[in-house]
Formats: sequence, C-alpha cells, structure tokens
Amino acid sequence: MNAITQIRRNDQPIYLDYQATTPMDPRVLEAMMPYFTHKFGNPGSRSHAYGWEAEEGVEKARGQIAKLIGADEKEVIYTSGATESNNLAIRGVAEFYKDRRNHIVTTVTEHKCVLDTCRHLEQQGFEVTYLPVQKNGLIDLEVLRAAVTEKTVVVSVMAVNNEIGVIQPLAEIGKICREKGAFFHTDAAQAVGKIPLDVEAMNIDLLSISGHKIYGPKGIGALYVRRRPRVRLVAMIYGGGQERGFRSGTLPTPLCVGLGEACEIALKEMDAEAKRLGKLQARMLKGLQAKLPEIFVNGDLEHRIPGNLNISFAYVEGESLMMGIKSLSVSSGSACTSASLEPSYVLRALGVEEEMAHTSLRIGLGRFTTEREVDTAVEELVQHVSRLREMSPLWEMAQEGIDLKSIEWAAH
Amino acid sequence: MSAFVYLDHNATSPLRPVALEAMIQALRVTGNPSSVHRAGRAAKSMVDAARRRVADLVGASPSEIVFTSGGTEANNLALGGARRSRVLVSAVEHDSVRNAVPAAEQVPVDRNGVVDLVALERALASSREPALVSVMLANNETGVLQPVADIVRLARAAGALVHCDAVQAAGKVPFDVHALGVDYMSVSGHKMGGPTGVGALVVHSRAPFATDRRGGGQESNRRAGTEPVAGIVGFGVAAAEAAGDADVAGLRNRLELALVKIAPSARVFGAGAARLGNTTCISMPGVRAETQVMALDLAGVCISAGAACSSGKVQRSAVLAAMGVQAEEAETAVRISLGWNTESADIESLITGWQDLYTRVHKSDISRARAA
Repeated sequence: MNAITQIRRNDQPIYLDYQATTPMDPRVLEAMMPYFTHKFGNPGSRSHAYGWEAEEGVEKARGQIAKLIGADEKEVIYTSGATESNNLAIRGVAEFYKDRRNHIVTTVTEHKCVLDTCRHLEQQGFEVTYLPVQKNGLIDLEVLRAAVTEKTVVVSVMAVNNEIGVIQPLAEIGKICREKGAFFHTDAAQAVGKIPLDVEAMNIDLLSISGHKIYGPKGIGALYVRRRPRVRLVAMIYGGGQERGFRSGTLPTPLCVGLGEACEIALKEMDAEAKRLGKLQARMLKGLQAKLPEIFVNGDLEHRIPGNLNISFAYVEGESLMMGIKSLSVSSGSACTSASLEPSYVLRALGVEEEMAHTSLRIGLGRFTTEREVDTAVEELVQHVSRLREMSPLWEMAQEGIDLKSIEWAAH
Repeated sequence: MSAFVYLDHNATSPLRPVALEAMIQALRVTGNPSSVHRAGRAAKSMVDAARRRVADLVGASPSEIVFTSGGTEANNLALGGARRSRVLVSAVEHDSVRNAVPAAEQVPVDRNGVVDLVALERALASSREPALVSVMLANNETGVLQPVADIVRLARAAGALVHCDAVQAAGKVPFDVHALGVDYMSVSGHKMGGPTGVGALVVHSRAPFATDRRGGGQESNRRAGTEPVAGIVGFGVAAAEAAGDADVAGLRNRLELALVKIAPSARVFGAGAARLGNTTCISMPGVRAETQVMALDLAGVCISAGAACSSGKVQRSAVLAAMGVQAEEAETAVRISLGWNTESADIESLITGWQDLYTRVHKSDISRARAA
C-alpha cells in the first residue's frame, strides 16, 4: 500500500488543511513502533536496559532535530508541542531577566499562544510592543529596529504565519536583535522542515518546533535554546528535572523518536518537496484565477511557503463556501479559532477589509497532496464559488457596476 | 529484550496492545480536533470518547477532564491553577509537586509514610490565609496510600482546597474523585499501560482554576495546545482496560514473603499501612540498591533503586528519609513494581535473582569472616 492510499481512502474528503495539522508520514510511524512495543522503557531509568534503550532513541532524535535547524543537540529541549514551546520561551526569558529588562516586542499576526502569553506578561508588569505588519503580512524592519530598546528582553516574531504562510525576514530580524542585545525567539511551527533554517546564520536564540505540523505525531514539540551565548529560562514545569531542568516530565519516547524521524525526512526531502509544492500552488492559483474573477491572495506570494494559499473569494461568505465544499477539508483560518465566526485577526492586520476577510479560505498543501487533488479542488471551488455568487445580490450589483461602498444600508 | 522481566511499572508501564492498536488507527487519521471540517470533527470525537473513559475511571464528569502532556504537567497546572500562595504538601510527594512549589510547608508522615493528620490540622490552623493542600493518593516509591478523604475533611474545615496526585494510584486501585472530595486530581497515561506524553488534570466543576498554559483555548481554555489525539485515545483505552485488571496484590504478597524468607532482616517499607497491591519497597541488608539493580539486570530482571526521574544521580530517597529510615538502610532499598502484564513466572525470576545475589554476598561475608 503506498503512502497516499494509506492516508486517504476514496470516500474521504481531500485534505487541504496542512497548516492545522498534517497526516503522519508512515515512515514516522514505522520509526516509532518499536518504542511503543518492546522498547518501552522510561528514558529516565538509568538502572536497566529498557531505560538505556529508550534514552538512546530519544537522544538520536534530539540530534536529528538539531541538525534540521543547524543547532547542537544539547540545545534542544523536548516539550509537548509548539504552544508549550512558545509559552516557555517567552515567559521563561521574560521572567528570568525581568530585573534587567522588561520589554517584549512581537507582532500582531503571531499565533494566539504567543499573543496570549504576551498579554499575560503585560498584566505582570511587562511592556509589550505589538508591531504592525505591512499589507503583504511582512514586518517592516525599520519599524522593528525603532521598537527594540536596551530594555527589550526578547523579540518574538514567527518564522512563517499559520494563516497566510508568509516568511518573515529572519536573518535580518536576528541581526537587529543581536545588535541591540535582545534575544530573538521565533515560532517556527509552520516553518521547520519547509524552509531552510539556521539558528547560527539567523542569530536565533529560541526557536519553537511542533511535531504534528511536519508529518510527525501530535503531543510533541521542541524548543531550541541557545547555549553560546547562553540563554536562560525560568522553567514552567517542575519535577524530576528532565531536559536539563528546563522541562520536567517523563519523556514520551515514541513521540520524541517520531519527531526526530520527521525532521530527518524533512531535511532530506525539503528541496524537492518545495519545488513540487510550488508547482501545485501555482497550478491551484492559476486554475482558480482562470475561472474566477475577483479573487485575491492574502499575504505576499513571493515570500511564502509553497504549501499555503489564503484566498478571499469576493462576494462569497467563507463559512457558506466551506460548508458547501464538503469534499474538501479546508479552513477559514487558524484551527484554534476556527469555531469562532470572527474574521481572522491576521487578515485584519494586513488591512483586509472585514467583508473580504469573511470570504477567505486557507488552503494548505503538503506532502500527500497530488496534482489530481489540486485539480479536483479547483473544480469544486470554481463550481461552488460560482454557484454562491449567482445567488448573491451583492455579486449581481457588482456585475452591474454599482459601487457597493456607495450604498447606504438601512439599519436592521 | 522480550526475554527480560520488567518489574518497574511505577516508572513506566508497557503500553497495552489494545491501546496501541487504537492509537495506530488514530495516528492514521488526519485532523486537528479544533478544525470544523470533517477531518477535525473525526479527531474531536475520538478525543471526546477517550475523555469519557478517563472520566469514568476516576468517577469524574467528562467536562472535568483537562488533558495534559502527563502527570508532571498536571501537577504543575493544578498547583499554579489554584492560585493559592499558601501551599501545604506532604513530606513524601513526588518531585513534580515538591519542586513546583519549593516554598510549600511540609506536613510530616509517620513511620509508614502516612500523613500525620494531627500535624496537618495544626498546620492548617496556624494561619488564616486560605491554603492549597497537595497530597498524593499513592506513593510512587512505597505504594503507601494516603487517607485522602480524611485530609479533605480537615482541609475543608479550614477553607483549604485540595489537590491529589493520583498518578500512581489511577488504574491500580479503584476510587472516585467526587467521593474523595478533592478539587484537583492528576493522572498519567503511561503509568497504567497507556502511552507516555499524555495525562490529565481533573478539575472539579466547582473548583477555581486559572491556567498557566495560554494559547488556542483548547480544553475549554484550561490548557492550550493541539490535543495529542492518538495519545489521548490510547490513554482512554488504557483507562478502560485498567478498570478490569486482575489484582496483582496476591503475586506481590507472595513475592514479599519469599524475599523476607531469603533475607530475614529485609524490611518492607510501609508494610504497616494500606498500600497499592503492585508495589514493594524492600531492603536487602548490607547490599546497596545499585548493586541489587545491576545484579538483577544481569539476571534479566528490571527493577529500580527509586524514582526514575532523577536523571541517574544517586540520591537518598526523600520518601524513606521522611519515614525516618536511616540513610544506611535506605541505601539498600529497591522498588519492585508489578503491573498489568506481570505473571507468576516473572515473580519467580526475581526471587531467584535476589536469592542468588543474597547468597553470593552472604557467602563472601562468611569467607571474609573466616579469613579474618
């Protein structure tokens, strides 16, 4: 059975939500299996062979993770996922250095777990600067430079945005942070394994990794913590002192091994995969543009991972569209907030108008996406967008050349 | 490795094959439980089913279950989440409780490792500041059970909240979180034959709780982060299975009798108290714990010298020290813990290995005495 048929049976919808979570690569599961069954020891058990064997697996994986981001394996700490990594990185440094520095810089388009952590720190007396982004979703480096002061303890800017896939200029940000003596944390949950990352070249001090966004298991992630110059953290989870005291708790060996394997595969296949996905992305966009007028890509198309498209289909309500296209699993934004009907704060930050933000879909492509699936998706989208537009009085008015903004709507 | 006898279930218990089967199914399903599309809903329904199973095991309602990455996180989440600056813990708590609140007041235990209720009552009365009391249900090193219901009564009378670390007890002894009356309770997947990397904090529906884990609002805003679906599924299956496990107390008792027969001055710690049926903490006089562990490892039996967490450093057991055991004797104590797959033959292997070591040491003692 090949990988793809194993992931998706014919009766299942086409999965196009790779930024929410990814299917686990069968090779990853295979690597994990022995650690579920006969190699089940607690890596903390130093007194018997079961423990040693588990530790070996955990440490090999640590090396695989480190290699993917150009780090030393001693700099990698396992966590339960990117949310925990982000909480730990930002709160950990902020609290450790709070006597000397009490300012944090982040952006308005960060993942919720970064924003919520920053908001909490604000309540604790930290000052937080939320940088705006430009229309293309990228930060303005000069604005960043101006925001970082000698009081700034950490600058937290995500590597790749989870909704619009844009890649922030990490090396440039790292350079500014280094000049100003602030730590640079990047939430790389959506970037790891998809774009080349090098913590040395990019001057990254803290980097968050997620397992399930890179074809690994859920429930595992990692945090890179620079050793030279040393970054210190206040831990969030105390206990047996695992992970050099940064993060206590029995290590979930199979999950660690899975994350390691996922990193190794990603490193090996990154270039070829990026090219393949780039073609699929272009194919999808061209396919849609050929048949549908008035569609807009949100976020920079150039500085973007190839596995993401975020498109506003004007005059079509995103939720209705999503409900209509039952054969596609796509989302209207971040998974965490997808149950809410609020328009995406990321799109709003780009200056996308509320009506347009409501018409957007996030389409995530990935390792198991095929050309045929893309074609089917284009077909489905074209059909349903056209159908919904035909039913839309707004669309009709727009076709007749009426400027909708000029209309004064009666109050309800 | 399968030839090895594994008697270290309190460190981690082998994954139950039925749990693994369910997990493999789950691992092959794509979907983030927070996504609204079909793939997401499928993942969510698996999480919900497991939530019911875990709730059933401890007598909670599903909405009181907050999935975490394990027992350590659950303990930390509870101790921080209760938002009480005054915390009382027993002297035999796990490191994840002790280290989460280093400034906590310690309540002593008696010779058997049971919390001194008089001392607890006195401590509670010593300040008007509302407290949080954290006491484990069963000790990880000795298996000794704490009188949690009594502790809750005392705490309630003093206006205190109660957290109970039930990581070692859950799945090994039946209990009901509501009957015990605690506000928070920690459980772990891998200690009952579920996977590592998943646990839960039970938060009583009436208990105050402020999370320390911020983000996407998962677990009803009590613990952010994408749920580890497969791990949760495995945990659910293990919880359901554990409820039906055969009691291993008979095997354990037979084992203790045999070991004490071999070494008459061996001591079983906590033997005078109610204990989990699976745990033995026993000393072999004159033989250091590490020596016993190595010798038994060579004989193909895995046991431990104490808790697995402490990254290999040889430390005196804080639990035994709190029970008044002298350092010299504590250094000869090992922990043997049975589990869902332990068989009679495993016990025999341990007894044989222990006997061989004891005889060897004993003989060399005699020969040395003769030489002198």
